[in-house]
Amino acid sequence: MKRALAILLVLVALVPAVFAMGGGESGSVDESGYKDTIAIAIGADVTSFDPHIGKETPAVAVTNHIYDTLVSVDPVTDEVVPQIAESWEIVSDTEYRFHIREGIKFHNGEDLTAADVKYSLDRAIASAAVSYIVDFIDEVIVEDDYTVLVKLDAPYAPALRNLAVPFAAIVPQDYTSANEDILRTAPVGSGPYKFESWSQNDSTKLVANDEYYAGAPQTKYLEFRVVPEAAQRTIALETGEVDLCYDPLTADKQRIRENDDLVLISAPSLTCYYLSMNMNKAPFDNKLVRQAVSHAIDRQLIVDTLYMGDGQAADDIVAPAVFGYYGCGVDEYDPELSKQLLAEAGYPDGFSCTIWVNNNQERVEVCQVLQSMLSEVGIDCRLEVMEFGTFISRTTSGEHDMAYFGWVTSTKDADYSYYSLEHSSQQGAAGNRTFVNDPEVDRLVEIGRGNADESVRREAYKELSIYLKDLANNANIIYTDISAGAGKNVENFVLDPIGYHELQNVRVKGSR
Amino acid sequence: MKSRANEKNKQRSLWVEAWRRLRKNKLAMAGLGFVLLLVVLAIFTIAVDLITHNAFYTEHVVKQNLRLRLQGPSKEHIFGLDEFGRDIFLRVIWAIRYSLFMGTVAIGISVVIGSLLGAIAGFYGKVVDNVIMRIMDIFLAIPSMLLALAIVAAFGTSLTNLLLAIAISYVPTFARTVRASVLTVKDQEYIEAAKALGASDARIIGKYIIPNCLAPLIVQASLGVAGAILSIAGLSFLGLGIQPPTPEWGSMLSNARSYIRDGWHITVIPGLMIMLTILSLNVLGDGLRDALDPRLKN
Repeated sequence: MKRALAILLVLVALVPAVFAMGGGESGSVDESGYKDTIAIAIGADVTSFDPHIGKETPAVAVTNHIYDTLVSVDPVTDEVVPQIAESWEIVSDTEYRFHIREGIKFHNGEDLTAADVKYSLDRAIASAAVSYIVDFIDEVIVEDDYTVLVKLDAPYAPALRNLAVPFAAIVPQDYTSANEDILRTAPVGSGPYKFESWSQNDSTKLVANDEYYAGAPQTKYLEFRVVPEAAQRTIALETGEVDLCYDPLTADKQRIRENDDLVLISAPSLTCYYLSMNMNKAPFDNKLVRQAVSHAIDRQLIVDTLYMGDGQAADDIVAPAVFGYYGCGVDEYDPELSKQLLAEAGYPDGFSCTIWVNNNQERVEVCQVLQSMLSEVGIDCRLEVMEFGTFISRTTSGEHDMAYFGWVTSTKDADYSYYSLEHSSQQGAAGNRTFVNDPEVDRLVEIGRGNADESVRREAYKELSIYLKDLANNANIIYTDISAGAGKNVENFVLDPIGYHELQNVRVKGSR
Repeated sequence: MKSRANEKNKQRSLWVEAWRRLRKNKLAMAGLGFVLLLVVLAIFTIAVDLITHNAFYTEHVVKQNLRLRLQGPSKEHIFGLDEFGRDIFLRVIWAIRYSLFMGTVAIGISVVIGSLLGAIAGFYGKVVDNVIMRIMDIFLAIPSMLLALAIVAAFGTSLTNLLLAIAISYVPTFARTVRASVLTVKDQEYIEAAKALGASDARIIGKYIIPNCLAPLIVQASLGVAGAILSIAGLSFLGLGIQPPTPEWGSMLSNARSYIRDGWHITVIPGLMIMLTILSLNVLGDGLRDALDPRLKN
């Protein structure tokens, strides 16, 4: 009797919970028939609202609405377009002059002037997290209130594209210098949206900046809701709880496509996933072993099954949409060749090692497949799954044998990846976690970096791509697609190949 | 001589009596049956591994067949295939040893440590009791899952650490149980008699006190094994337990969760196995309690 009563009580308690899950349409509809709030499900919370610290994609997908940069890259045409800088002139290979738009105000009412630009770029250069994106700058000189001259150490071809990356954001000098930590929780920028509120691990609310130089945003509020479980993001989209969901699960993409109320927006991303082999450790100091690993991997099978055909087997470490991609050809899957290479290297019976990966389910799954493929040629790998922070700090200090990484070429210019991942000066934290230290690689990276001539650069990256294929320090696995699910009623949403989707032009009709 | 034999007879009949009572409890017997089935299956799989030198294991339990992933139950694969195209039935069976034996070993360790500490605390009382039991209280104040999590996170993920983590987190429960029964037993006349005959403390604890505290300990332990299995599954679910590709119910469940809408079977089956095992152990534990201490009933 008592037990029956208890069960009844539990059932009664569940009823409101079930109802609460059902409803939950977001925002109210104004007289024009459009919602005043766009609700977006994102996979992770903002790590820091300070643009010179929080550089992870989910963070930037929120903060790039708060801050602007000197210039910007049009996601459709891929051209560098004005933003805070109205125009610019390339004075010489090492000098860029920017004319700043007059009348831009920060969200706290301060005027945006050349002093703010200098302060912001200097601050970004000093920041350990994002310095690499702006450290080509030697000096920023304020010429007058609305003109700055950016001087470079040496010619640097992708300079403008680097300045368009959201971590080169312009922040208000007076507000920020009074308290260096204030941007972390109370951000002020000059972007299309103002910060309204943040509740950690739950949501971030932004409100339209009506004085935005390019005109007020289409929708008054943005609400980013943190939904770490990918399957839940799709469910939230299906129930109408959110209007947009970023990065749905591969398995859910088909479900979104088939749903008449929803659309899936998908495009090749600028992300490459790769297996880094630590060249400071035996047996990965042996080129033949590294090549054997690469030939043991059936990349197309991974694309076809785990990714259900969304994505592409990778050859270069930069994706095809990136400037400087050559395409040296995917290493063919050939277990026999792989065994032969191992025998030549002196490991006829294979060897044991570990693969490290952070606890992201998709990555863990790929690594389980890699583990299984490598065991076919006699390489016995133990998979170690660790939390992201531990993973990064331990691979930075070079404790790993092999580790699985993903890298986005945020500037769409190969230098961004080749310099960070392959140059000998960038070992460890900056990104070179194969610890490759090869004068020929360095030489080619530097040619690509220090030349303004596109054809010279392309030639250098072509040579580099071929050289790296032979060196095989990274086994490049897949270029993934980037995707977002949206309700049919969402208008003007443009997918950004990096994941920094901009929402100021997006509107959502009252009903689906 | 005769009286001693009689005594032995009587002693045994106590356990026989308990077994008779337990047999009447159908639910508990079903639980026992399921647990025994698991034990037999686990021993069988271990034997297969030993005989084939892991060949069967590598070929059928961990080998992937990606083209067939997420295939539903069929004649060849009665529980279907998982997200890597591996047979779920075989994986579930091969996983028994981790859950069941690790749970048992972990609880075994904590029973030994816990009952020793509890017996010492209860027998000596005063300062010793206070020191031991306050330390136990400190451990009890930390949720056992959290404690196990912290231990595994600090010392790394390995089978031994996982075992130790779970064993340590269950020690206070057993220390408490044993101490409580020691307190009721230690003032009994037969203990006084043993003391008067000059028996050493160790002999008294080992020969008279612990055997008389066994009943509650057995009940607690059978429930503890259920808890430990759940903890192992939980830690593996969080990625801190057994590492892939080794099959384990918790990690199978965790890996399957993003496919729950595409292949129900890969989540439901390991989940069902965990549930049935815990349920069996719990009804068995309840049955044992009723059988060993009829006074507790009602």
